[in-house]
Amino acid sequence: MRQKVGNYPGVTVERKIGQMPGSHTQGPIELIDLPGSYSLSPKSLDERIAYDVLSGHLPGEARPDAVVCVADASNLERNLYLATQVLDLGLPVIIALNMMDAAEEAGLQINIPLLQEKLGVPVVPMVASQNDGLGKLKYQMRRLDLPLPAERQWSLMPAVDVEIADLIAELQAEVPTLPAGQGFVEVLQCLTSDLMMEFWEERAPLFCTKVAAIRDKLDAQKAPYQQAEVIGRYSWLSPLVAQCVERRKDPSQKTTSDKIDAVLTHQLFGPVLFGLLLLLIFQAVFTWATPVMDLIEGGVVNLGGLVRSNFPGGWITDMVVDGVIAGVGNVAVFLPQILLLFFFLGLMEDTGYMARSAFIMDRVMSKVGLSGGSVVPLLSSFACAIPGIMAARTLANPKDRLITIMVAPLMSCSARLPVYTLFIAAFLPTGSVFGIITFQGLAMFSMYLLGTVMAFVAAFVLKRIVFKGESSFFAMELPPYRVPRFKQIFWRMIDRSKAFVVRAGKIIFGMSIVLWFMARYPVAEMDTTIAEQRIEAEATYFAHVDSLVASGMPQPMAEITVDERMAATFQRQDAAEAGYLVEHSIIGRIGKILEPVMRPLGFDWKISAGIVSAFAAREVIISALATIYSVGDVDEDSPLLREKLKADRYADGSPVYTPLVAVSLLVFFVLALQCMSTLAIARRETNTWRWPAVMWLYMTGLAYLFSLVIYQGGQALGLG
Amino acid sequence: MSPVNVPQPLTSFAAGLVVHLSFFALAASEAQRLRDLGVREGNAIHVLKNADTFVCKIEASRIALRREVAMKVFATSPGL
Repeated sequence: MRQKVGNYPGVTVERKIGQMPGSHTQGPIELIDLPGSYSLSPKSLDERIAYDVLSGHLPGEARPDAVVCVADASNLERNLYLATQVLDLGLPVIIALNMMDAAEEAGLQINIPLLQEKLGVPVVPMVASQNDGLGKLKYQMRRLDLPLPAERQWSLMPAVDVEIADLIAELQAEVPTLPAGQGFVEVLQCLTSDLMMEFWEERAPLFCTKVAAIRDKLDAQKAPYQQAEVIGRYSWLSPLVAQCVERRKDPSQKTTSDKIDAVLTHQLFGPVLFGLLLLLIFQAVFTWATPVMDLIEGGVVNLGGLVRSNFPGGWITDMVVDGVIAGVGNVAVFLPQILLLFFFLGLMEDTGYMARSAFIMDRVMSKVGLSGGSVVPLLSSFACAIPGIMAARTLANPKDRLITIMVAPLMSCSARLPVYTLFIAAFLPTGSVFGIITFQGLAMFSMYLLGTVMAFVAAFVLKRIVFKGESSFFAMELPPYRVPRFKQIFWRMIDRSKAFVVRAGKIIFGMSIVLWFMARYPVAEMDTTIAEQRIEAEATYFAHVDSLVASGMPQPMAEITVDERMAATFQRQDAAEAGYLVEHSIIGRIGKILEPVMRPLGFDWKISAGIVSAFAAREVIISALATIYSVGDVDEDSPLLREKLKADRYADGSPVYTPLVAVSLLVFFVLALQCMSTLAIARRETNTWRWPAVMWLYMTGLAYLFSLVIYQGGQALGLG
Repeated sequence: MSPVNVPQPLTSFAAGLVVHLSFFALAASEAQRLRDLGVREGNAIHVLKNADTFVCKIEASRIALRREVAMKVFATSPGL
């Protein structure tokens, strides 16, 4: 099981299942990785998932046979709170005491044998990031004789304690299948959590009525029953931890992480460094990947040429070269950039800087009514909106969660990267600021910035108009800084590139073939003017050949001479015929229908057709344009898509793509929601089609409006 | 300096001080969230940063709080 890990809370937001080999007598052991949590009292969706799995609430899924509870050794008291809650469920537990190195750095010496004796379960000290202690943990996990936890060693305040036994009996009477030992935890959860009351409402109505009555009774007695567990559990845990932990350092002594934080989270330098880091990342993504991209681009062109020269001419070869190779190849070219983007995001996650970014950005987020907690989901959306939307599960406030889901697709994801790169490289000027930051890198950064600013504006509007409420609460743990584990980052990059290649292989491969057919068929009857021009050109050709033969030149030599003289004429003629056929193909007709709507944005029928075909996945526009231009272009001297775009002209000779059209198109892609998977995941996470529909409408509306203003404004200023 | 050691908001303590948490003037769910993070009544915390945001240390864990949240957490300092 190679599950994604990161140096910040909230990396895992759903349960993940894997396997590890068991002992000789066992079969393989099934491992379920659950979202991290500070306690078993679920407040956010990810914490609820953890509780549901441990308590066997998920339909069709039994409770686990044993639990490995990973606790942070650097704050033992707090983390044993959760571990002891799990013990109360009555399942065999192994405590993996992780981050022993951070505890040691802070001068904490933990007496493991004593802790093990006090808790009555195996405790394995670990530094998981260095694989330290992993062997011992695996040994414990393969044990068949794991002890069941001892009797509960802590007690509730008397006012609450006297009510518990009756409530457990009531619940067990209504739910006889409830595992022995779980009743106490369920009752305690119901007393303090409305979420859990909702769960039992239909399953054990009498029990719920009784819990509500006890709540009222305790309220009347002014008994702080909501805090009964915290008070009771910590009254037992605090002295236990004091016995097991020896402090060897003055707690006010600064650790390395404290010193780094003094700079990176500084009031002034923090945001500046964060901005510079993002600029560096997008600059690097744009420039560092270029040599490898050029190689792949050359490979795609050569492969097309190779197939064409080695296979007989015909529609199948055309489809393979113009459809599949041009379509998939032109998207695969962007893999190096995507790998680089994931490398940098991986670095941010692994070092612990991702959590700091949430902290640094909290001030800005509070202005739009959100909290720093939304920053990690939004930054994850730079990779892909899907993990970003899922990461919003960590937000306890349901309004914040919904707003974050609604604005996450505005953050520029990796699928937009190919579109940005193609149009920026083709139409925006080269050159640099201070010789370091290139204009094109800056343009790339601006695209990301625009998406981010618009996400903030959208969040502000949603918070003020739709989800009115109090300003969000923000408190989070800042993990210690870590040296990044490049192996981890490498595997994450490989996983991501696999996903990209599979996507290119499935969606884009299929779409390329469909698009090729749509660009090729139906074969229209040639326009009479163009047909007459060909007759005229051929007549001129033969006339010239005849005249040269008449003057004494041998026939073959005369043909070669006239071929050379009239090459440009025939190339123009071929282009005109191919262009006419594409224009009258299915895709051309769709583009033509849409052109009147898209023309005010500066888009011709080809771009319009590309945008429609990219409805399901953004990067398909590259395949669509590659296919349209490959089918409609016969100029073998400029096989690169960006060269074809640059050379494209309207009938009056004016260029189809100007820098203004490119900017308008880029802005359209920054803002438009062209991703079926995002809509599907938003449907799953919000449990309705209403919010995905609103998301699609507002983003498409924004895209159209901004592109319209940019193109028309640019033209009015004479920039067209 | 206060003549009696009365609880004061966290934001009134300078970086470097160790203070004891007294009570929270927060909504129940928010107070519970802080307790989950280890910011709990009776605990001693070490103030690391008190500026636009508040950062404190409990054992070896660093906890960041929005300033508005820190203003609603009350504590006493044995040294004051």
